[in-house]
Order: sequence, then structure tokens, then C-alpha cells
Amino acid sequence: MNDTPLIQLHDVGFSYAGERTLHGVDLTVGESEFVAIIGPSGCGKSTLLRLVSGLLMPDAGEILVGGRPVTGPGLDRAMVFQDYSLFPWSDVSDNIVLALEQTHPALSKGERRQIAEEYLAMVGLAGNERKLPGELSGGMRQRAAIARALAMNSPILLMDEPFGALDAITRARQQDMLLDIWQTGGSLKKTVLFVTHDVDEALILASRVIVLGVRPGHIAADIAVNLPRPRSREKSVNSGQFRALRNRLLHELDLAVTRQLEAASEVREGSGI
Amino acid sequence: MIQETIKAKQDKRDRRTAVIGTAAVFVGLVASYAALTDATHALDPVLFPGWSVILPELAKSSGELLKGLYYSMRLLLPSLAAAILAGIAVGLLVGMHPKVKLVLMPLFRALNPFPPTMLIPYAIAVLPSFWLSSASIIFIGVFWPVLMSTLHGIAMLEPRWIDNARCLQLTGRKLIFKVVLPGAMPQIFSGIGSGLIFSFILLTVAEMFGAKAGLGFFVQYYADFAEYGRVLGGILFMSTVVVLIMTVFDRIQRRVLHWTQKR
Repeated sequence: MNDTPLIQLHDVGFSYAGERTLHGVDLTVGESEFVAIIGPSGCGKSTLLRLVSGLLMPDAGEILVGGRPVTGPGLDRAMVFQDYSLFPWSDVSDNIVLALEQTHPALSKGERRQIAEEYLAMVGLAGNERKLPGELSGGMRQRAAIARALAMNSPILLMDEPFGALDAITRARQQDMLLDIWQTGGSLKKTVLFVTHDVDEALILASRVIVLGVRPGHIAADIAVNLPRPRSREKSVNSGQFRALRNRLLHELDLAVTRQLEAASEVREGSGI
Repeated sequence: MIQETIKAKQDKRDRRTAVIGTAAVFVGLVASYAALTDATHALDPVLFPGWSVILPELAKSSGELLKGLYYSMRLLLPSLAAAILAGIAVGLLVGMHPKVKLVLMPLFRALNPFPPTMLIPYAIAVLPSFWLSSASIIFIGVFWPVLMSTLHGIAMLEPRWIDNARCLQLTGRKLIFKVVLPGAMPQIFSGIGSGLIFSFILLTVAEMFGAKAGLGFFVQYYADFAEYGRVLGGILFMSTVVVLIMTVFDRIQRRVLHWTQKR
């Protein structure tokens, strides 16, 4: 369509409670990119995502989505939180229908209900439409949240450690599912920003991994993941390329943590203790 | 699956224990009273008439009691409904506007604990009818707990629900009816519960003051004639009504807050 990148961050900074959590973040994400953001805890990766979502406003720099500055949350960015994207008092279908009322106001009630059903089936939750989120397992809840985000059909999908609270097997299945849905999206492929602290997860899913360093959070590395697509977890994990990328990523993360420790000890020495 | 059936069986057993146990204690209390009155005359028969006196009196005054019930409900139900609606509406209005809340909260805190019973003589003097003065006393008594609990419920809304609502750009009516009200409902219901109990107290107190009908009036009237069989019958009748109303309330609450059990 046009050459303006979908998401642009220029020299973005953010402070919380007097502490600088993000500083000088420059990032450009193009259409249909799948970008993983990874970093040690406290590096501000969730904050970065919340800034793009508009739930938080930066105190330095600017964020553009589709060429326009972000002034707050918008329906062009669907968010999947770690374990709370659904309202617990509404059943799964009603949760999706509520989102659709916002994104697709022209549709009839029946049509919305049908779209909800289709997307629930897509994530393997057919027959669970009338269940409350609390009646589902953590994995199922997260799949319903993803179904909602996809049903909204927003061009951008923001995912904040969506599989972080799941056990290893469930997590692997969800990664497969997301990979499947995203890769078969064709021209409708969403642009995804995916926050995680899991190196394998980042490499299995993303086309590009951003490593954040700490204190203050900044972009420490920007690594292209050139594993062939369509991918499958199994093929990826067993390839030599994957292992090489994994080592590189772990090295970068290690550097980020070491620098943090060095910085901390310098402060201590400087303070004369 | 197996876990679920075990839990279902346990629940069923617990329910049976509750029903049988409660009934046994109830029968025990009734029997002990009989033992102290009709059987042994251990208690003063004028102040503590036995079941042999109370039950026939209860049957004899059933027409009068039903009429009293009608008058009491005509006073209680509209006042309750108005107070609950007003409490929630004002709570939403104030709770969703932080600046308004900042200004009004100190006033609410000061007015909330004021006992509405203090207002009864004045209300009777100022307002044109007994119904209106009693209704306004009940209204005030229920309004405060509902208002305060609505404010509390809104303040306690989980930040993640608000994030979620913001991401979906929910505003106005949708924000109120799809997020704020359902999220605050557990607290609102506890406020309605306290308001309900308070309303029974206020209803009977108001009726003993200046009424010519109603269940409170019935008890007060026959106490003046030392007809304690009727007084006790009236009290038993009133308790049954209260239990029925509370049961209906519990049912509604369980239904509306159904989701809180599934979390």
C-alpha cells in the first residue's frame, strides 16, 4: 500500500515512580511483521507494549501507528494480556461479541454471534461458547482471548506474554496454534508484537527478535530470524540454524544482564561503600 | 472428571447435612419452648403463652396479619426499590468522576453513619402523610449502604478490567452496563444485603410510632392489651416474611454473581 512503516517509535522514553524504565527506544515495524520482544525481567518489555497499545503515554519521544501519533488505546491494536483479556462475568461468546460490537458496529447480532463461533472453532474451542472464562483452563482461556483478538480483525496484534502462565506442554500447543493461524493468514497477516521471556518461544514464532537491555530499558540487539516459513516448531527446533540463533540470543541476553550487574557495582563503588 | 463427580457428591452430602441439621435444631427449639410452657408451665403463662395459645391466636388473626403484611409491603417494597436504584445511580455518577468523588466523599463519610431513626419524629412532622414519612426513613436507611458499597465496588474494579475496557474503547452506557456495574456487583450486593436487614428494623420501628396498620403496628397494638399470644404470633409471622424475603434475595444474588464462584 504505502511505504510508511505501520509502527514507529522515535526516541521513546518512559519513567515510572521517578525511575527511568525506558530510554531512547527507536523501533520500526513494517506490515505483517512478527516481532518478538525479549529481555530480562524489569527491562520494560511490557511497558513498551503498553506504550504502543496507548494504555500508557511516553514522557519522551513519539509513537506513530499507521503514520498517526498514538493518543490512547485504539481498535486498530488488539491486545492479548497474560491471563486477563476476558471479562469473567460474560461467557466466552459474549466476550467476543462485545468486542465485535465495537469493531464491527454495522453487523447484526446474529452475524456477530456467528463470527464469534467461527473464531472459537479456529482456536479449537467449538462447543465452549457458553462457558464462563472461569470454567475454562488457563490454556483454553488464553485461546479464547486470542480468538477475540483475531475476531476483532485489527491490523496489529499486541501480545503480552500470552503463554507465560501456562505449563510447558500447553504452551507448546498454543505456540503451534498461533504459528499455524498467523502463517495461513495470507494477505490478511497481522502485524504482531509479542512480548516474551522465553528464547525458544521468540525464535519459534517471530521473524525478528528485539532484545531489550536494562536500566534504563533500551534496544540492545535487533536480530532477524531467517528460519524458513511455513515453519513448524519441530522443524525449527531441530535445525542447526535455530541452535545458532539460540546461542546468539542467549549471548545477547547474557550481555544485557552482565552490563546491568556491572552498572550496579559501579554505582556501589561510586557511592563510596 | 472424577474430581468433579467427587466434588459433586461431597456438595450433595453437605447440602443434606445442612438441611437435616437445621431442621433438627429448629424442631429442638420449638420443642424446648413447648417443654417450658405447655408441658411444665415453668415460664409465666401470661408473658410466655405456649404453642397451644399462640397457634390458635395466629390462625384467628391470619386475616389481620395478611392485611398488615399488605400495608407493610406497600411501604417497604417501593422504598427499597427506590433506595437501591438511587444508591446505585448516585454511586455510578460519583464513582466514575474522580473529581466529584473527591469533593463529595468527606460529606458521604460524615452523613453515612447518621441513624435515620433520629429523623422519624421530624419526618412525621414535616411530611404530609405517615406513608411518605416512613418511606423516606426507610429510603435513607437503605440508600446509604447501597451508595457506599457501589462507590467501594467501583474503586475496587480490577485495573485489568479497566485496561481491557480501554483497549475495546468502551464508553458511556456500554462501559457502565458491560464493565463497571457487573464488576462492582459483588460489593453492591453486600450493600443491598445490609440495607435490606436495616430496612426491616426501620419498617417495624416506623410502624410502631404512628401507623394504623402494618405488622409493626399489629405487634405494638396487642402488646398494649397484653395479648402476648398474638404478639408472639405476629413476631413469628414477621420472621417468616423476613426469611422469605432474604431467601429471594439470596437466590437473586447467587444468580447475578454466579460468575464469582467460577473464578
